[in-house]
Amino acid sequence: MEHFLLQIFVFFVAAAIAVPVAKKIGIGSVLGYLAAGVIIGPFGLSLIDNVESVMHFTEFGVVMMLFLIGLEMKPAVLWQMRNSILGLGGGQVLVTTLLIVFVSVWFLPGRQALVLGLILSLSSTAIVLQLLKERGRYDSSVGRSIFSVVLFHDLAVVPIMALLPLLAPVGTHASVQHGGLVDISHLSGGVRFFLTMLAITAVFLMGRFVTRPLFRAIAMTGMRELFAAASLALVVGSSLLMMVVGLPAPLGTFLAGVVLAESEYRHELESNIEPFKGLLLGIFFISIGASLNFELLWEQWWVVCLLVAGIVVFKFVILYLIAVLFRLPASERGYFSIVPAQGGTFAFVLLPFAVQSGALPPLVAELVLTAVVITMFFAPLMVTAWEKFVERRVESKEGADALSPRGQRVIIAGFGRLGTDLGRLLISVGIKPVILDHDPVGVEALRNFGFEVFYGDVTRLDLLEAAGAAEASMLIVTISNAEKAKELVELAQKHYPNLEIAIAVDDWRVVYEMKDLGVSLIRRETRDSALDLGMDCLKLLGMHSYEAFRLLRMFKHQDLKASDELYEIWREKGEETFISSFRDHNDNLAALLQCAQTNNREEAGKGWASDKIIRATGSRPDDSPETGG
Amino acid sequence: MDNFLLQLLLFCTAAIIAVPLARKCGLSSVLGYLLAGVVIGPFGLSLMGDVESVMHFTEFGVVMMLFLIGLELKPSLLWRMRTPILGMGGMQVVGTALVIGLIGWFFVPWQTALVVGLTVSLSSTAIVLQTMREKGTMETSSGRAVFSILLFQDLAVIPILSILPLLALSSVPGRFSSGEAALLDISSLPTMWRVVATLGAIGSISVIGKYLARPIFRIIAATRVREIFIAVALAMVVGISLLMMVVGLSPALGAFLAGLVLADNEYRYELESDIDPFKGLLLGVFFISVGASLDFLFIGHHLLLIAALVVGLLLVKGLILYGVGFLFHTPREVRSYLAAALCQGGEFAFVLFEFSRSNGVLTDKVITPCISAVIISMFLAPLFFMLQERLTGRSGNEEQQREADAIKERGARVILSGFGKVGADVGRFLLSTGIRPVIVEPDAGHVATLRRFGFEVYYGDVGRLELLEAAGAAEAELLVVTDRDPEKARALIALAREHFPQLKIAASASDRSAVYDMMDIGVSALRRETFGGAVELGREVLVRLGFRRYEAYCLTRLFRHQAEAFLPKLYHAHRGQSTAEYQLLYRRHTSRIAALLQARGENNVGQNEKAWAASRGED
Repeated sequence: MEHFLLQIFVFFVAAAIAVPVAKKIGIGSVLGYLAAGVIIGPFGLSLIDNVESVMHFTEFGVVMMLFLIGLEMKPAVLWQMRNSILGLGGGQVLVTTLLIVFVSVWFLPGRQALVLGLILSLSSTAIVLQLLKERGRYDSSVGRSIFSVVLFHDLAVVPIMALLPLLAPVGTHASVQHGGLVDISHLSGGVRFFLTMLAITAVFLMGRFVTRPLFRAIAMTGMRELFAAASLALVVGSSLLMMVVGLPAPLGTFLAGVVLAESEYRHELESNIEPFKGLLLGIFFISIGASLNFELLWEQWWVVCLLVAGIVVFKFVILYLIAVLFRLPASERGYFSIVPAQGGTFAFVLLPFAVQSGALPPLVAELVLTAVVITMFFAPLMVTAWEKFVERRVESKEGADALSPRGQRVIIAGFGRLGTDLGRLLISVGIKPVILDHDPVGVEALRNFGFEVFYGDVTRLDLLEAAGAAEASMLIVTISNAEKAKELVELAQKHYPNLEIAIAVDDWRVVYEMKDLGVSLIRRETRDSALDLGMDCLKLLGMHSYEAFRLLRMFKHQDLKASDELYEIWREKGEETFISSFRDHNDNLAALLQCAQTNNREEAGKGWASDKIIRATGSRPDDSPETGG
Repeated sequence: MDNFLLQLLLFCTAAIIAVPLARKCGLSSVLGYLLAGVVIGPFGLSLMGDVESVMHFTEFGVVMMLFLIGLELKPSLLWRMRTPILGMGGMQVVGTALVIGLIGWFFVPWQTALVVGLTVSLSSTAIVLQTMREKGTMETSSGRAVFSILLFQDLAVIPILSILPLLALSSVPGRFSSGEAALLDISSLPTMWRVVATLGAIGSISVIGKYLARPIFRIIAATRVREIFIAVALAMVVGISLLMMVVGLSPALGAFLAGLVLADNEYRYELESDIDPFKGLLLGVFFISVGASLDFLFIGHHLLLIAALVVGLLLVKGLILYGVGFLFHTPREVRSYLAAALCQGGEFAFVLFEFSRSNGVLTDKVITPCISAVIISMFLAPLFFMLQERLTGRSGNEEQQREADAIKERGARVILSGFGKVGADVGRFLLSTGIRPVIVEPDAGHVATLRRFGFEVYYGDVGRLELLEAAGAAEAELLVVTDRDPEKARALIALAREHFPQLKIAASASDRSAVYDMMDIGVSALRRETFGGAVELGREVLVRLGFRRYEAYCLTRLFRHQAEAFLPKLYHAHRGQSTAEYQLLYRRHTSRIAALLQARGENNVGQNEKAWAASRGED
């Protein structure tokens, strides 16, 4: 236990020091992690041991990452991208493999060369995606091209794993993948194929039909950790299922993610898995850094150098050619080729697998592994260098058109009675808000009414992040619980200072608390309807509807004007003074409104006619509830 | 790896099945976890591997929990409640521990008896708080008394954890108290230095928390890499635990202190939400493993012993709680509520028993029956809540007795029922225009406040005919109904319709279904209480998003009109057709408004807007 805690402590502290430093220098967090690994690893301070098993364990972070990728990927989008995935990705893997085989066949037997080619053709999904995200290029067109390449890599692992044992010279079929699980490898080919299909269908059906009622039942309990447990169970379960049928775990979770991409629990799932994924992946990168074998590097430095140069140059050139072939814009070709030009995380999975199944000798595997680590180490550096020196980046136009009022991002937190009407108004106007609500029953009901509402607790930073608060321009808070609303406003103000906040509160005390926090747009939720009802009353009592409307407007105007003064008094002079000022204010209002009525009656007698009114308000008086502010 | 994943899947699945089921049956989540453990444990399906080691590992969840408790404790709250916390809580814990210790002394050595007494004196925070929250008794005087005792118990865990090793009979090297080879061992140092080291450790926690934490968090937050912040938060808790282990104190104590120090830090909420899922999962798995370690064979063989233990525990705790309530002059209801709410054993017992086992304070022979008794008492907890409710009738309605005010006013044109959030605004507006409604408000406390603010408000419930008459319903023209409770509002309207048919009725409704209900009865004017606010706020939002003020005004007005015009159709659909058809109609309505507004918006931007802007000189 203590030993375990100590190890965790070392990992986390190393990360906490190295990553901010790396970010400060301007290289990405991946490199920070790798550097932290070198420092605490056996060739640095030697603070950690058993790097292999740590790496093996934290590999699960990759699985989680693919789940999250799947979650962000709507099936329709995936289908749209089928050409670029197969074309760009498939072309790259095929050509790279062939080229590497062609070169390495001079040094190695043919089969080993093929294994090597296949393994080295893959790039590092983790590094590539992290790079794209950190540099804000994930959503750009070049980002999507790169993404389709690495997505193909993720999918290609499946056939490669199936192929490797066949390429082994001796028939040593080691089932490394399945340890304590059911082993189906002894079954006949047909049955295995059937089971595989069954597993994939099961993941699909689960995601489609079982998860929603399940998540709803769990959300009803209101226990966050239970939701986290369910999210983990989902990821772990689907990856175990894949392992049983001999497919790679990432594929299963990716599928599960895609199926759930349109569910209302998407953001909540995302924010639950995210911390686990982040930590596991971070430690995974650290352990890669720590597993660099400097001794071997020293002895065989020229081999490793050649390998590194070979991997980077081959990949870059081939990607560039493919970019030309697929007519990517000239300005994007370089970036497209440089980002995936490294060995991949899957090499760490596939190389041991290849050694165990006898497809590669250990020495070759270790040399290649070292080379791959080095290329991964260089990847962020190369991209940084590319951005600095080669690419004269002009701000793309994609950012600019987001500024038109209808394209802006708005988050609505709380979709109750008030939120629903407000949301309908915004949607009607053409603004598509991201809507979050914490009531699972309400969420489901609203979905039936055609609103795209997501379930989640907005007072958590990770959920806000998942909902896109960083890019949003406005946050509308309509949560009825004042404490939660305050918490949310404070959180949003601290982390997203550019986010404008609008809030509906249910009580004047809360209005004052929000004013304390500096929220500029505050509305008391029942005030307008109440005053409208008051106007209705006047009409029912026989007052002319225009006069009722005029009085209402006057009241609103004066009341709003006084509210700032009253607030100051409340804060500075205490309750007694506040009460007496409030009474004064009410008396003033009464005097004003009654005076207005008598005036009006007199004027009406003189024939102060309706044509002036029409000009003044720009509409027929009867149906305009209010003009101006 | 596969094995680990399989176990993880097992735990998570068991939890997500058992806990919602338990909640559905009205049991607490802790019991759900325990049940899950029983089901997958050796006496159920036997799916679990190494229960012991899982339990040891997940015990760390307790350290995290204490960190979070520290983080949430506001010093001001503690100070305000110091008398009930220290007085009632302290007396309850000490009293129970002593009495149970004395009884236990007949059977076991006094150290063992005292440890057991201390351990079972704690009640289940999770069960009690959750039940009170569900029943809505948190804010009553009984609720506050219960809460302060629970708070003391939470705090008492820390000193108990520190005393336990001293009460050990045999000196087994403890898991927590002395380090393994990985850590520094300071037990070889002279006492002086050990004291210095201990004080230094505690001092460094508070210094780091006070002065270093803020800049560190700021730097980390500036990287905007989320997982690093989580890593730091976890590293902090882990680091403190390690430090405490080195100096031989309990890690829970260190974590609690660190939490307290960080309670006023501006990154408090982030820390809380980062640690919370890990704590939740670890504790959940911990409870599952406690459930799995329940020895049913033993229980089966010693049924009588365990039954006696359960009854004894409930009786002793209940009586002492009743006595404490008596000493502190609480009303009778509160006393029985205290006894019923807090007489069970708590989840801290699992932690403390586990801790005593690994420190050699207690042997399995003592722990197994005690843990079984605690678990059974926890299962019985909801029963006691129900029983108490039955016996005392509904609680917390002291204010019902007050007589309605006599209404002196005569001949008013308007009666306003309810002067809450909606009613206050309606009333203020009507008063300003010179109409003096008779205002009747059913909440006595609120009436007092309103009178201070200068409103002439009568206490009473117009739902009763005589009061409606007293308010002058026979002569009045208009009844304005703004009660929050839709049932009450409906009853009032029905009553008014029946007895005073000349009375016009204006009403506010809280939501759509209340609107439809009122439309059933037929009222002259009807407003949904949040609709106006939504539209007005929406208009301001549009302006801030870059719409011109006039455009926003036109769009919201159009929206309002469409919504109001369509209401009768929706109403008929809601009353006459199936839910699915109603939903379909609603969707169609929404998309129709959208089409209309977007067309209007484009038009506006295209032509009208230019003319308007030009003629008016828009801002």
